[in-house]
Amino acid sequence: MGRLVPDAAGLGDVIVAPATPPGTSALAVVRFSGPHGTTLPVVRRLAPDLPDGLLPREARLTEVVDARGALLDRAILLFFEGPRSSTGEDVVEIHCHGSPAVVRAVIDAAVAAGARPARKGEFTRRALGNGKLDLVEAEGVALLCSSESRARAGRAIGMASGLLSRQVGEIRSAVLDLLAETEAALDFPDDVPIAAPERRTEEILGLLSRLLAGRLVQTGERIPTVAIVGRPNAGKSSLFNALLGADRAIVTAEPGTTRDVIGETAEIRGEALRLYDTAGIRPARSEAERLGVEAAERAAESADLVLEVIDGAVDGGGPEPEGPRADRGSRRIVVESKRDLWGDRRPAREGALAVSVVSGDGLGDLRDEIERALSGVETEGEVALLERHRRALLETDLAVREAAGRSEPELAAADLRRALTALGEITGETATEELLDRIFAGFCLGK
Amino acid sequence: MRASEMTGDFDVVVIGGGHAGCEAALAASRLGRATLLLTSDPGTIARMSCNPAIGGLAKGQAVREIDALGGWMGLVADRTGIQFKVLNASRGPAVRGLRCQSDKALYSSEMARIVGAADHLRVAGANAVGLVVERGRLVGVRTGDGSVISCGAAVVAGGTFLRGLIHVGDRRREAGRWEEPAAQALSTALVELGFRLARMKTGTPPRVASASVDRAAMARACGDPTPTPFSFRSRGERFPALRQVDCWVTYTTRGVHELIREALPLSPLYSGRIVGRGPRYCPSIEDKVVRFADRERHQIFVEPEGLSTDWLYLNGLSMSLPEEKQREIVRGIPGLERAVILRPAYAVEYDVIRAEQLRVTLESRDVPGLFFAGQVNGTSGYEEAAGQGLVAGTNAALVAAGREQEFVLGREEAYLGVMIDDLVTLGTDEPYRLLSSRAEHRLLLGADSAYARLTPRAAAVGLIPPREADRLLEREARLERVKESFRGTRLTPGKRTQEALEALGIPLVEQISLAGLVRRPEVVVEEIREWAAGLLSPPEAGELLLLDPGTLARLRDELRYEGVLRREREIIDRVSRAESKRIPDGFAYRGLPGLSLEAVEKLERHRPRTLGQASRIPGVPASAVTLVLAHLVSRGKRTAGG
Repeated sequence: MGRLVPDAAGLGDVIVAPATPPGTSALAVVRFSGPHGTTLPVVRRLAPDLPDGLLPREARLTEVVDARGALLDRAILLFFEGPRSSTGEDVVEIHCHGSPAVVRAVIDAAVAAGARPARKGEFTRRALGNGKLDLVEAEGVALLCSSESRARAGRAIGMASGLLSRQVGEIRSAVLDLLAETEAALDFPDDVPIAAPERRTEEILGLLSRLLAGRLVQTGERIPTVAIVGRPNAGKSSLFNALLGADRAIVTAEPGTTRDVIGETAEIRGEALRLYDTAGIRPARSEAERLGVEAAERAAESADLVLEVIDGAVDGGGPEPEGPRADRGSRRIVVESKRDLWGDRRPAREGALAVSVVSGDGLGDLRDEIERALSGVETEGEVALLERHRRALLETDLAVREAAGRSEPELAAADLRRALTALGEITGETATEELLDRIFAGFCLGK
Repeated sequence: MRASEMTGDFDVVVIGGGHAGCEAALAASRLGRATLLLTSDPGTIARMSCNPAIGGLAKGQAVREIDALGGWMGLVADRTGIQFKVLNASRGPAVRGLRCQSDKALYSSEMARIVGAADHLRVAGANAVGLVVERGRLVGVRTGDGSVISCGAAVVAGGTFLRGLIHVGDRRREAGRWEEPAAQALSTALVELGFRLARMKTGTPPRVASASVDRAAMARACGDPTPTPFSFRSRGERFPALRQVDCWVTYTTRGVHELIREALPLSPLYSGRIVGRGPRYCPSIEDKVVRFADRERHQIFVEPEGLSTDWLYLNGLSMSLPEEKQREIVRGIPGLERAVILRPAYAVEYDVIRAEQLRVTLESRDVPGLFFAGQVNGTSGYEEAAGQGLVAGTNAALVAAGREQEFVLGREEAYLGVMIDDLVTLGTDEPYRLLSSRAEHRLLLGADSAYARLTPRAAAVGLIPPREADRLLEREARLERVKESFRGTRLTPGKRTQEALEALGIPLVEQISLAGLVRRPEVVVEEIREWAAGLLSPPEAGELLLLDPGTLARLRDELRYEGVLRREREIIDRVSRAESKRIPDGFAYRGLPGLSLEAVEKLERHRPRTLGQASRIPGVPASAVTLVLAHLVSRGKRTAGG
């Protein structure tokens, strides 16, 4: 059986951890956090030449020394005085040189000076506990840190910066207004007429639909996959390399060069995707080729988007690929390759995009098409939603609609309270076991 | 009996003989504790100091809850009611509110009779001036003549008497009610014990002579043709017991509003002489005229104060203007042109204890054995007071008996639970009144379900004798059985069924259960009862035919609202499993990683009993509550996992 009392060291101690990933880099940041007045005394033991009147938010160049006074690094030090800091406590950042050895030495010196190495998620936990982050924002931070692309990071920042929380707050406040009107008429039937809730209801539903249009993401999201398929020697590997911006696949004039499926992560218009180059599809001439073709078919089958490459240098783009159309159901863009070889004639296939990887012609258009095909409907200022946010918003939407359809105000009031409960689950104001599961999964709390 | 003559010790001493004090004393004595009710004047027991009415929206539910818990307010109201009316009668069962006009004098004398006849309960006329605390525990109450009554627990139910100060215009005097002296010393004693007090204000309207009122100029307001009693015990008695009378409705005019506006500088509310905070939901007429300047008129209910009195109560006209101004204002109102004022409206300011210092049992956090109930906790209303009295008296008796058991009602269980949780968790800055909107699970708290909800709780703690509880619960069980038989009986649209239903004016085209049929809005359950009985087995039919009219109406309501109630319970399950998670006494917030110092301090001061309570403490962020929850759960998992 575990301890029944949380460790007494939990509150009041200064924690320290590297804030940048391990490995060599130009800079590395070591971060401290502790209750008001506790962080600086610890840090001063590492940086004895810090002045007494250290100003918050002022960058200072300082020497960092170990317990025996030996110089470890010259570094930039930043002090954030609580509660105006990321954790709500006194926070100090030491921006030192990005060598693993320096970082390790600074952390060791910090521990010798009285700090404690932070446990996983402890900075976030302190920020949560001090009300600097709500649950959505904390989720956003986690998502932001794991974002592999700019677009995804952009949406995560909507969560992390409180944009989603604010929008949920706006909806919540509108539901509260509606509830207040409904309740007032119930408690004071002599004084308050039953309100006409249509306008407010519409306002709420409008806000909800705007949020629900947001993109669904998950921590550890499966990034979209794009498979390049086509007949042998149609130019698939050249296109693959061009989209990747690197010569990854071997390109030869010989048909059937690519035998296996090659996958690489590419970024297109800020969006991470997994790009697959595949073997040309034709009746196989060897066992190796047959396996390659099968793998290509499987890749096409499971891809979110298929780029079908037809050879522009062959009359009419050549025959349709033989064999099963394994890519049924996937979205598809037809690319007519080698445009530099066939000039200004119209594409052989209706709707095909003419592209030359030699001149770069048409590559921009192709990138736009890929982005559009993968994103569905784009909305302005969209915020990412986690699955649990979406479910809570749908529950809210349903409850508000049900309230609008009620003839008994006390039932409408119950529906609206249900809506508030659901909204509260997003930001953590309504505590439920499900919410707990989420928290345990995401933040290593209470373990 | 004078206090100085008392020799024996008491288990529980109740200070104050108002609505809170009476229920507290009756509850404590019913648990078999030797109980003393101390009141400065035994002739003023259970006075209705303000309106001559019991119940109302949410308050009516509270009275039913008191009844279901073995309290007396409902029965006394039934015996002394002179007009009964269900408010919001056209709405669903959860928001209907039973209310009655009472004969004030008879109400008081009937309650005094019951208090006087109760076993283990004695009444003494004496002022409580001090509280004796030894080793941090309450051990006695000191009276005005210097004697000390030792006791295991005490309930302070001082109403508006703690440093009561009455205002009429610029005239002031120290009093708790119109001509009854205030309690000065008790306030001082509480402050010396370290309690934080606040100042509140409430008001009461003028009373006028019935003979001086012109009813021809006012509209008649009748009671219900078939009155509904508050108490289940009224079934065994003649009800209504008294002659039923009418009330009257009139309105203020623009001219009256003008008079009030001109007189505002003379109102102590506006001149700054009253510092206490008044209730927003029961505003004085000065407030109404100022805050709702565009309203052309305000409703005034003219209510008799009894069958054998000439006094009328002008509901809606509370104020604190000088007497001569009051006369002008009253006489500006249609029907009251020649009204003779028998007692002017007045405001009263009084000390209240900040209820955050109490536990959900209404016991002081810092002085075990000392309980508080009623207006002294910052509430207003007879019903709110009585409900707290019952809970405080019960817990005081448990403490005095040295029992570990606590009597606590949940928010999803009772309006009384909502009220006490609000008071001790949030505190209140204005006199607190029960409103149905305060109960988030209102749909489950309808007056009809009070017995099913609460009587088992009352029986478990000893507030209701087991036999009486069994009888009450048998009625609930019978209703459940009839509901079940309605759900299980399917109607097929055959010839005979269709003909029978058509005779009752009900079209039937599809297969439906009897319950489904009753849920249809056009079906009147009273009209199909005989026919439906023919479809049931003989024992089921017998039970259906035995249902009294009130229970038959419940059959309809409960079948109709079954779906929403089920969903409401699901929400409670989902949310409350976390909400109702107990935080152990002495929980070490200080050791919890990530919790801010501010949150730690708030949580340590309030010592919330459940996670839900913690989440309602102002200034404790949701994230802090999440951290506590996370810790409690992980601890539970570790414990469970061994």
